[in-house]
Amino acid sequence: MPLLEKAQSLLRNLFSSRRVEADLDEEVQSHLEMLVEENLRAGMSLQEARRAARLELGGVDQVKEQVREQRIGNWIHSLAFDCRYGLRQLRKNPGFTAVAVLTLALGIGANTGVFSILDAVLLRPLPYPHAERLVKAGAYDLTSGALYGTTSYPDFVDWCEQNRSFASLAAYEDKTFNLGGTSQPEQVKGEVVSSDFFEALGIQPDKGRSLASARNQQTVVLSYSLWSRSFDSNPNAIGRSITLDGYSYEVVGIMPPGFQFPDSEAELWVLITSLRPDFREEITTRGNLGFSVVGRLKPDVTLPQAQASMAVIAHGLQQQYPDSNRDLGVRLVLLHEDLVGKFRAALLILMGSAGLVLLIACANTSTLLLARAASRHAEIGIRSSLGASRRRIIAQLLTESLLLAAAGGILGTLLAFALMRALVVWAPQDIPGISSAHVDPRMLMFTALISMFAGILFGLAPAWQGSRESLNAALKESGRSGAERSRLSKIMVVTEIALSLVLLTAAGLLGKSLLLLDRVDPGFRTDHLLTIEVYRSMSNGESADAIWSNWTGFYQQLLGRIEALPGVESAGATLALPIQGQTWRTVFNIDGRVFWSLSEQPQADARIVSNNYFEVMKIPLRSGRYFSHRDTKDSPHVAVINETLARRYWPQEDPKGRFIEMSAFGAGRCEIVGVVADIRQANLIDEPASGIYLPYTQEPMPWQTLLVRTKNDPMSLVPLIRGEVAGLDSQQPIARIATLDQLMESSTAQPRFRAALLGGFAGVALLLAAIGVYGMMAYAVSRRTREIGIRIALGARRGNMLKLICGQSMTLTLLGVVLGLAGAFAVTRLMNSLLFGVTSTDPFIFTAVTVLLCGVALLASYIPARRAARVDPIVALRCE
Amino acid sequence: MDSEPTTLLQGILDMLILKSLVVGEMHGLGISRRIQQITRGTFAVKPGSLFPALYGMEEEGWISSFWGESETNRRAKYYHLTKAGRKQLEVETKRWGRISWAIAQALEAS
Repeated sequence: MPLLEKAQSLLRNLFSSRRVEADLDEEVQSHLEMLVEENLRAGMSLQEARRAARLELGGVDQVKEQVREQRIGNWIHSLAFDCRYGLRQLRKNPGFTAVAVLTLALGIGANTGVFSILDAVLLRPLPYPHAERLVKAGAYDLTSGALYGTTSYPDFVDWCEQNRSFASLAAYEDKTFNLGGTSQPEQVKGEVVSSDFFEALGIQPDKGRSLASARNQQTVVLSYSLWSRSFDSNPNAIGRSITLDGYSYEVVGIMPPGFQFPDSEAELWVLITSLRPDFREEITTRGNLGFSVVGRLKPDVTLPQAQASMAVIAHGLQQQYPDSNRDLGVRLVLLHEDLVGKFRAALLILMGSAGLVLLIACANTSTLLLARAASRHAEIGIRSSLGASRRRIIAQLLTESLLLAAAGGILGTLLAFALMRALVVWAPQDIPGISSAHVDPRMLMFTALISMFAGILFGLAPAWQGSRESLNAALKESGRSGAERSRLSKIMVVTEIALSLVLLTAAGLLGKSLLLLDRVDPGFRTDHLLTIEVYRSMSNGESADAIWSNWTGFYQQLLGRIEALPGVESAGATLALPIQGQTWRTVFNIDGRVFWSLSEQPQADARIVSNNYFEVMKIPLRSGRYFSHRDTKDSPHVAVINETLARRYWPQEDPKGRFIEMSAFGAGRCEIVGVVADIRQANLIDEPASGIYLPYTQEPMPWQTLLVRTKNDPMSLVPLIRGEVAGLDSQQPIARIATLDQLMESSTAQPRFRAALLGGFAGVALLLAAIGVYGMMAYAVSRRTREIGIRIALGARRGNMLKLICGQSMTLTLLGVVLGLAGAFAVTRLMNSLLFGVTSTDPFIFTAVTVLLCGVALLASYIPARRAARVDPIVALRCE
Repeated sequence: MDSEPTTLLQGILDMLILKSLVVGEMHGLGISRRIQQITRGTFAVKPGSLFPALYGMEEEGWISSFWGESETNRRAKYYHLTKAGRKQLEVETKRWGRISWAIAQALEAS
């Protein structure tokens, strides 16, 4: 039975079985009644007639059952036949089969691999019960629309009291802790959270209980990894004490292994209210937007409803606290969107690219099938003359394509395994959920679906075309169908070239962005620089002098010891390491200037640094002086500003000697003593922002990253430095040990990943397009051997033949290029958010990929063209 | 060319149905009676064999069906031969000719 009809019949069975059943029902019923009529006409009584009719029929349901069985049996039987026949055909042409299966495997594997990541990151729900009801709430600026994404603790408390949309709301803030009372002191990242935190997320500790039910305020819940690391997975850890920043906490719960909120770095959770008084001051200040808020919507409340009611609450707070809350609105975002929204564009572009690769693979397989149909037309012609219907032949050819696609799908799945393993290791780990990408039924179903789609896509045109063979045409070697076949394969090749061009352009744009990003001058020297985070636990109730010596004093002593180590050139420290997204925005005033509104108030990024920071980082001085050892806690407060700030507020004069004032860090009024060159602080992409440097001798901070400039490999110094730290304070942990070069590289990990993946796809596309051009031209030459032989015999020069064949392929290539350029022009606009330093229509990239593609196509057609030029007219004329 | 194995009995029934439809469209009961008539009562096709055969042949594309009215003004499903059906009848007839000749030879040879 032909596949199309089989499919129709299967569809009927699947989707309209009720209609078929009704049909059958009615038919059997009418048959029965006609039998009765017949019997009546034969002179039986009504009762007899009915009985005889039912006897002959043999039971209405039995008849229907027999029909059903027959249909299913028939279907399976002929499917098996078509498959057997198809397999035999494919086995007969191992070369063709291998190339087609490999091509398809590349396309299908790429799609499966990327889909598994897309699925893990974008499609799968977050691992919380009813995660679709989890929402993040954050403040935003009503005048500028800028989203802060966070809020102050007092505002959060008011939200909790006033809202009716949320079943629960929880606030949390990142905090670094020095963990003690375990096997060895360690710096860990934790969260200070409100009591409903675990309840809002809907996840309870695996062992023990959550913070909400704890009677003791000084309690902590540990992550599974911290528990296994620090307690060797000892179940008796519950109830034990640990110290955080020197304060004792009781372990009350252990979270399940997969729990990572807000991110995978968070390893413990403590109550906001358990923290020391100096932190409490921070949480009572309205306008200190330090807290993130996650909430669980009530089941019957939609996001817009919740948004509207939160707007009312925010409006009330604006009225009530105009000083801090003027211009502050509340915006709700689905938690899922908040976590993965920024990866959507890149992932969809990768998925689209993988899709293009598959289309190209399909076009390629189509050309192969078309060329093969040429050698099969005798077979098909004979079959059709012997009575095989056109549908029957299409079905047979399509079955073969589907078999090819299935083989490609299986091989592609294996390929995707390998690709996925590489992707998961190699992809930037800060993409949430990426590590959970794995093979699962969803992915396999996706693979099966795209394989089937591909099989039909690449098989349909050749099958349709192949089925038009008639015996007549088959016997006449070069019939109309030959011309039609080559027209179809020309269309395929043009498609391939156009799609490859789109992919190449996209990859080229990403590649150029990456190159430009790598070439950005950050404004400081990154090589031979070791960075180590050293966080001094705050200690309670000490005098300013004690705090100074505990913090800055400690760092100064430590840096002095490190600078004395062999192999160390210099050593400094900073609060916020550049290119790590760390900035401390603060407002300031300028002596003698008045700023009437908040939005006019000057803002800058405050950077608290060791006095020799600029020398260690090699940031050039523009005017005035660097900090020096004479800037101490007792000398007048000083500041160094960067060029951007100087240009903005003192465009015509030297700011040296001017005074600025800010409340942040208790800096107060400072004299500007120098101007230094700009550096990229937050990241490599953004232009440098205004920056104010303050010396850590005058503004002590308990949290510094050491910067050690070394003569040799920076990492070799780590044991020595660790020893110096332990020598000063045996309980002092160190963390985040890395070279600045490593940090710079990981900051571009995502663009690198995207560019590499897309580049790989583009490479595959180019290869497939080259194979496509080669295959088509080789086929054309073999078909025209006789014609070429005649031309040469009649005096055409071999150079002309070369030109003729190459020219033909160039015509097609150029057509494909024009279409591809139009497509690329339309598509690359979607990539704007991923580009850096290039526009989506960068003429250099567009030109370069065009030249590259034309070159490759020319090369691919050169080999068949040379064969054409070498045709020996005598052999050519004799061979037919 | 089409080498789908058809069992002998199935083949006979299909052939008889095709043959009976040569004269024109017919409903199931008509086909059944027609076969009875042309085989002089040798084959009495029961609905339990007839309907599966009809549905199968329709899916093969040898016959097609439509709903019409019977001679007694009853709604009935009618079948008629398609082009492929006529071809199939030829194939089956030839095959049957060969088989019946071979069997007759075999029986005589004893």
